[in-house]
Amino acid sequence: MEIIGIAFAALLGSNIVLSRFLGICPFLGVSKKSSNAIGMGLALIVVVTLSSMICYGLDKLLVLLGMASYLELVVFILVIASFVQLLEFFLKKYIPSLYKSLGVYLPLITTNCVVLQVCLDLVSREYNFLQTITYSVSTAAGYMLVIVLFSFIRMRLDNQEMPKAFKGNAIALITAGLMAMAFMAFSGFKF
Amino acid sequence: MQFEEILISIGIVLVCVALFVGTYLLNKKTKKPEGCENLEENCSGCSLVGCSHHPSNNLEEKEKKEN
Repeated sequence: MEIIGIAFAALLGSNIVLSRFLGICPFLGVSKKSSNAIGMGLALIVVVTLSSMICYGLDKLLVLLGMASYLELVVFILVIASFVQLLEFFLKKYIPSLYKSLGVYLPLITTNCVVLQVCLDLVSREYNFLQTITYSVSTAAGYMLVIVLFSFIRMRLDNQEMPKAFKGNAIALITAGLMAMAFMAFSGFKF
Repeated sequence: MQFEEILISIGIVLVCVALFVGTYLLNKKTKKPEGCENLEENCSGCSLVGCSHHPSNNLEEKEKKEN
């Protein structure tokens, strides 16, 4: 039941974009088309899940050495950046079809603060391995859900007439705010 | 903090930096698969002007090539 609670909270109740306002830059930037949003979301699920598993193991090592408090952040940043490079190399070499479909979104993930925040959350909340996987997959899936829904709304907004001051990112941020209020309803669920 | 601990900390950071440089070079030297050579050029650009794929960041390189 605890696992379901973690998954539900990460996916909807405490969605990382709409309740903590992380990853806003790619959220606004890559949500103009739904196909781009799906590509970004899929790439993020892969990277967040695998990098959090690596960071979970590394954190255990740092705790053993007694250096977790001051080395975590530096090590996590470097490991995530390395992991994205390694994943890009692997996809180029062995799965070109997936590389082509993920396209330019894979390197963009390095700059997505959601990846780092998930790794830091795992450490601060002292999750075990199963909870780590559940939390990381659900958080990334929540990001994908929100960015895809947002892209559908933005595609419809593009065809609407509106005052000049509201065009572009202004109306996008207002829409994101309304979505955040709608998603707040999920935070009332208890498991 | 003991001297040994400082050395180990520096060592861990250096290993991580070396790992990043290694993976970066490995990735850079690997050829892109067929049909993916122009993925960056096909990128129409989003709001992320800091991204290396953003068309505004490639303008100078394109101008140099043309000249």
